[in-house]
Parts: sequence; C-alpha cells; structure tokens
Amino acid sequence: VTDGTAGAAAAACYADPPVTRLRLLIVEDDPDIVEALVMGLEDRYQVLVAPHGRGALDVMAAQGADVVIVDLMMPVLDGEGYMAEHRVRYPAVPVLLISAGRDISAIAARLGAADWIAKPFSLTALEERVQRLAAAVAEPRR
Amino acid sequence: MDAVAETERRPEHVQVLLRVTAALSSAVTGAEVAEVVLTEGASALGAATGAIWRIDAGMLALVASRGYADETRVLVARLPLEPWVPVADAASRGASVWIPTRTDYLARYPRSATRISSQLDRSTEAAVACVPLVRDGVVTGVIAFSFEHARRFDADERALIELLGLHCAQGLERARLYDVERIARRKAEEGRERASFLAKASALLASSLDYETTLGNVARLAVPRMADWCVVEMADRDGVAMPVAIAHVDPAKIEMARTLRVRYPPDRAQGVYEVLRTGTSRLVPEITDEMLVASARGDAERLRLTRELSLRSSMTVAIPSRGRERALGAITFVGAESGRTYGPEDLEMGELLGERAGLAIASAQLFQGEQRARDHLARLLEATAAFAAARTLADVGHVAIDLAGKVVGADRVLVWRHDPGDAELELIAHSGVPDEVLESARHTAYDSDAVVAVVARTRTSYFTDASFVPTAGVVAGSAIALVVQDRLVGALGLAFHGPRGFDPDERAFLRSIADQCAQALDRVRLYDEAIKAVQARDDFLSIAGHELRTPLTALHLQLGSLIALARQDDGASRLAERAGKALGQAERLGRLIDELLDVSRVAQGQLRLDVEEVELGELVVEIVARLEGEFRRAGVAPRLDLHAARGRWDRGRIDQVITNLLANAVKYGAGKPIEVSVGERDGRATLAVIDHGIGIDRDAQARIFDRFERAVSSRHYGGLGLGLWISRQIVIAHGGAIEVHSEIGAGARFEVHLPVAGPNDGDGDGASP
Repeated sequence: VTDGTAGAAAAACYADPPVTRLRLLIVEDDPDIVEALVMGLEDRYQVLVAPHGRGALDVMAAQGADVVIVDLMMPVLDGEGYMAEHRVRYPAVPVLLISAGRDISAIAARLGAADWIAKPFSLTALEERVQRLAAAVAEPRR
Repeated sequence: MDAVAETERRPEHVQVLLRVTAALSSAVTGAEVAEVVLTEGASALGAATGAIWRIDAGMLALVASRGYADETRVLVARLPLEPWVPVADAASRGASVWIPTRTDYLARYPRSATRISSQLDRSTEAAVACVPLVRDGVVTGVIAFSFEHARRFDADERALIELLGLHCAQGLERARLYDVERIARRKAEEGRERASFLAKASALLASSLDYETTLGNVARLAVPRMADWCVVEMADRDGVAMPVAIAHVDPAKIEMARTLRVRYPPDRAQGVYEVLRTGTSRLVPEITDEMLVASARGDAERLRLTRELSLRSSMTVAIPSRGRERALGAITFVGAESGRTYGPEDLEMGELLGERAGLAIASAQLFQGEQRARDHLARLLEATAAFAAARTLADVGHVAIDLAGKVVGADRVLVWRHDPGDAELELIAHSGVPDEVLESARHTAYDSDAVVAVVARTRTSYFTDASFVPTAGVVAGSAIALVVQDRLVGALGLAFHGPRGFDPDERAFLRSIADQCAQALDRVRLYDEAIKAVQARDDFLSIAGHELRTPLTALHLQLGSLIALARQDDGASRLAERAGKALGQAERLGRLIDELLDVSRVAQGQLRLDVEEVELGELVVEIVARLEGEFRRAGVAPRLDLHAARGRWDRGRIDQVITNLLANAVKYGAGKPIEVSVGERDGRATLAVIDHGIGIDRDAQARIFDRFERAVSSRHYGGLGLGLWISRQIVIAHGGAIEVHSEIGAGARFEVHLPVAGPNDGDGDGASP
C-alpha cells in the first residue's frame, strides 16, 4: 500500500480494519511496549503501529488515524520531529504524547499535543485518555 | 692766503655746527654721537684724523676714531693720564691743547717722541688740537683732531673745535643717560615680567592638588615669557629624575627633546642631578659651544642634535623638600632661539618659584596621601563587590579593566588566564591595546621571554622604573601574576603612555586588586565546572530515567495483559492474583525510580514546575483508581469527601504528592479505613489524607519530612525514606505547606495546603524549594 517502510510493514501486520472501531496509531520504538499495547487494545480498536516518526507519517498518509499515540524518544524521526509535521498536515487528529522523561507536560504543551501520559503507565490509564480525546474530536463533528 | 682762507671758512663753521646739532639730535648711542662729531668735525676742519677718548679707571680709553691705521688704534686704545702726549695733557689739565707744528709737538712732548713717536712718525700730525670733554665741571674725556700741515688755530677755529667738544660731551652724556635709562627700563620690565610670571605660577600651584598637572601648567606658562624651554623633573624614590613636564612652543621640539633624553639620559654626577642632590640652584649664563662639545663626549650625532636646540643660557632651580637636603624635583629654564639669557635676578625668581612648588607639593602630598588611602579603601570594597558579581571570565576581565582604568589611570589593561599545563596565556579581556600589539598579546607563550610570561612563571610582579626603555608607546607599566594558593590562574598587565613611578602604596594596592582578580577567575572556573557537572548530572538523570522507565512500562503493560488474560480464563484466577502482585511491585519500583531520580534534582533546587489548571478532586479520583490494586490488596476502600478545589499547579508533581501520601496510608494504615478530603477556602486548597494505623510519635513527626528519615524501622517497612521529603519540597515549591497530626496508635492526618493561584502567584514555573 505504501512505500514499504518498516512502519508500513508493521502497520500492515497489525491492520485489521472493522470500520466502526476507532483507529489508533501507536508510534513507539520499544517492541515489548508495542506488543503489550497491541495485545491490550486490538480487540476494541483498530491498531496501527510505526517504529518512528517517519514510519508514522507514511502510515498517516496511507491510512490515517483517529488518535495518534507518540513516544518522544525514537530513532530516525523522533516525537518532536513527527509533531512538527503532524501539526501542519493533520491538525484535526489529536496526539497523545508518551514519554519517560520528566518535563513531559511542558513538552506536550509546546509541541501542541492534545494530552500526555508519563511512562510507566497502565493500559487503563492510556485507554482513558484515548477515549477522552476521541470523544472530544467526535463531539464537534456531530 | 691764510687770512682769506680763515674768513672764507667762518660761515662754514656755522654750517658745521648746525649740521652737527641736527645729526646729534638723532644720535642715540655713544658710538653714534662720536661718529657724527668726528665725521662732521674732520671734514669741516680738513683734519687728517679725529679721535675721542673717555676717562675710564684713571686711563684714557679710545671710544671712536677716524683715519687711524689699525696699529695706531691699538697703540692709543688705552693711554695713561699723564701729560706726555697732548690728549692726556688736555684731559689731565682740563684745558685745550693747540700744537701748530711738528716742531712744537716735539718740543712740548719730548717723551712722546721717544716713547711712541717712532710708530707715530709716519702719521704724526704736523698740527694737533685736543679739547677736553667736560661735564658738570668734570673732565670725562678728550676729543682730538690732527692735521697734515702746520696750523695756527685762530680764535674762530679754536672756538669751533671747542664747541664740537662741547657738543660731543653733551651728546655722550645724553647717550650715557639714555643707556642708563634703557638698561633700567629693561631691568624694570624684566622684573615686572618675572614678578607677573611668579604671581601667575604661584596661583596655578595653589589652584590644584594635582601637582603633576599643575607643574605641567607652570612649565607651559613659562614658555615663551620666561624661557624657550621649561622642564619640570621630579625625583622618584630611587632619586631618578622623571620629567613630568617639558614645554616648548614647538611640539615637534618637545618630541625631539624626549627622544634625546631617552637616548642620552642626564649625567648623574652633574646638572639636574646635582641640583636634586644638593638643593642648590645652577645658573649657566651662557651656554658655549665648548660646553656642548664637552657634554656630547665625542658623540657626533649627539652634538649635532644638541646644537640643533640652539641653547643659549639655562638655570635649574630645586623644588625643595621640607627638612631634607635632597630636593623633590627641579625646574629648568632654558633660553634658546629667543636669545634670552639668565642672570641673578632670574635665578632669584626661579628659586622663589621652586620654593612655592615645594610647598604646593608638600600640601598636595599630605592631602593626596590621605585621599588616596581613602580612595584605595573605597576601590577595594568596590572591587570586592564587582568581582563577587562576576559570573564569566569576561565579567572578571571587565571588572579588572574598569578598576585599573579608574584607580591608576592605566592606558592599556590586559587580563590573561592560565590553567596548569596550558602552553599559552589566554587573553580574556583587554582595553586600549592597539591592534598590532594585540596579536602578540593574544598568543603569549607561557615559556616566552615576554614580561608577563616571566612574571607568570615566577609568580611575581613587575613594575617599571626609570631604567625602563619605552617601547611601542609604553613608557611605564606593570605585570602581576594572578595566583591563588600558589597556583597560577592568570596575569594582569597595565601600561601607561606617560612616565610614572609606582610607590609602595600603589604597588600594594595593585597587588591586592590582582589577588581579588585571581580569586574571581578561580571562582568562575569552579563555577563553570560546577555548571558542567550539574549539566552532566541532569543529562545522566534524564537518560537514566528514560532507560529505567521504558522497560518498566513494558513490564507494566505485559503484566496488565497477563492479568487480563488470566481473568478471561476462570481456572487461572490464582495466576491473575500473582500477576496483580507482580504489577504492584512494578508500580512500587516505578515510584522508587522516580524518587531516586528526583532526589538530587530537588536537592539542587532545580525542581521545575509545569503549571496548569488542575481540579484537585478529579486528580484524587484518578489516583485512587490507579492505586485500586494496592487498596484491594490492603483490604481498604478509601472514603472520599471531595469539594471543588481548582488551582494552578504542576499536575504530575501534585499527583506524586497525593500518591505518596496514599501509599503511606496504605502502608502504615494497618488495614483500617482511609479517608481523603479535598476543599478550598480563602484561596487555599486543602487536601487531607487520614489513616487509622500505627501513628507517628511526636519526635518522629518533626523528622519525617527530612531526607532519608522514617518514623519506623526500615526492617519492618520498606522504602527509601524520600517520599515525604520530596512531597514537602514539591509543596513548598508551590508556595504551600504540608503538615502532620498524629498520635501513636491513633493513625495520622496529613494535610497539604496549596495556594490556588499557584507558585509565585501563578506566574509559571521555576519555583525552587
């Protein structure tokens, strides 16, 4: 579908698109975290993943997403670099920033992320935020 | 024939007398008077020669003559007042002498014939007329005419010659009086000039306490009224004459004089040094070429340059020092192009000026000594404050430049830095340094011969003295090693474009400025290192935090999935329980990591707050939900009493505080109920966490907010003992307070009070405990 980057490959791997479900894009380079998130979320969401910002842009271009979950520290193109592109191309798509760093709330505000969650986090906490973001986007649409 | 000639001559006599009278009226000097009388007389009388003598110290001295051969003039230049020649005869007797023929002459003056006539023979007159010059009845000289032929000298002729004598005597007298008057007037003018100069110079000396400038002004005042050159020199501590002022109408000449002085320093044995040593003035009424030759000592170039100054006369007066033989300095006046020469009256004036300069300097020094001590003290205090405020190398350099400029008036200032092992001294600040000098100053090799490098290596200081040979526009200067505890940290260089010495007070003062500069440089270095260390630590913490939390996140999520999977499978409920416990431990591990990473940051006062709008009750609900597993394991369900409390706080940090308090309540609550309340009153939000557990005794209550403190033994209860300390730092950073109320066995009530406006009235982040 896309240009065959790792991100697109991963996305293809996990793509399972029942149309009604929210489509989440997880941009994270740690495979264990990705695996756990996919396992925990895939029965309720359509989950796309990308290992870095570059891959995420490819996935967005090819398939799009309702909410993007982005880690800050990643190879190739980091969260900050991704956000710079995302703000311009997909301003309507909310981003949930995840990071192991300390000053995440300030960084999230600076990068224009809709919300943030600090590592380590539970699946429940993450899902709560995702739901909140999805609802906020859905409401004005109606 | 004779009779006819006589009668023809008579009207001519009147004409002669008229011409003589007219000519004499414009003759001013004695020489002019003599010239008129002799010329007119000789031509009217047809005389072969004419001469005038005056009586001077018992002799006849020739004033003027006409028609004499050179050897005759020499012969009659001075004649004894004895009547063996006609002129002396006339002068000594006060009566005219008329000698009609040569025979008469030889008969009347036989001694003349034997004594001098052999020389006079050829020219000796056939007839001679000598008339005494009389003033107020006193013979003052004699006028004589001689004739080639015999002459009778009739009454008219005698009357004419005697009248000429009278005119001559009067003319000479007038000329003498005129001379006297002229000299007197010149002296009076000179005296007035001297007095006026002295008055103005004295006023200048009294006008200011800056005597070096004042002496410079005095020197300039002296030129050209009193001198073509005026040089003021002050003796430094070693007795070396340092010129503080050289004045001449032509600046180019001043430059030349400076060059000469540098190339050929004054002789220590004489001249100005003698004046400085003995305090006695030195007058050279006339500077002869022989003197110049002698002083050049065979140096042709020196002689040529000295001759170019066309020196005529000079005087050097001492600036005396009270109670000391040695003089403070000397003022030299030199007459050159103008032809001015100096005499005793000038010297008297010069000495008076010297005395006044000495007095002015004595009072100025007294005042300046006090003034300078006060000034130095003030400057040192200023230096201390300024150096203390310096944060960067450049700051330190600029403080040093500022002080050196203000306090000692340095024209150039350079500050170098040096770390052990550096091959070069690193120039960190400079002022007034010309570009061509700057390049070499920037790259001063530590082991080079540059003064600053030598001073740095030897940890010493250097001050120029009179032996310093000016180079590249620098006439005086100093270099001081900057040393802290025997360790070289840099060097300070000062340069002056004008001559100056450094007295011990000033040296000590400059050294103490250098000491402060050295300490400031060292402090800045330490400060820089500390900044770098803090940065390195922050970087490390950031990386460590990331590295530790990332696997923990994976662990969290994996355990979460495990629990979910286990719950789906009924038979695996025990597995779910185990996995839940593992998750609890993972969460605890997460908090421990946070505490560990926080502690050094918080301790350094680098707690950064990211302030946002937070609803405290909602946050409590969120945290309680997150800790649900822990509550369940402890068998407690917290009771919440939540009222609206919205404020501007750092959500993550306040979360940390509440989580910590709740975790403590679970840990020490002995499984009894836990209550959480939130409310707001008077701009302060209050959160209370209450347990009914083991409680905290009074002594421990005071300590539990300290670092690594706990109320109970670490053997029974785990943890790092950092939670409450960090919580308190966070609350304080928000401008709030945390307190505990407890009794042993009766549980504990922790209260957190937070201003709703946030830290510093809500103006953002950056608050520190």
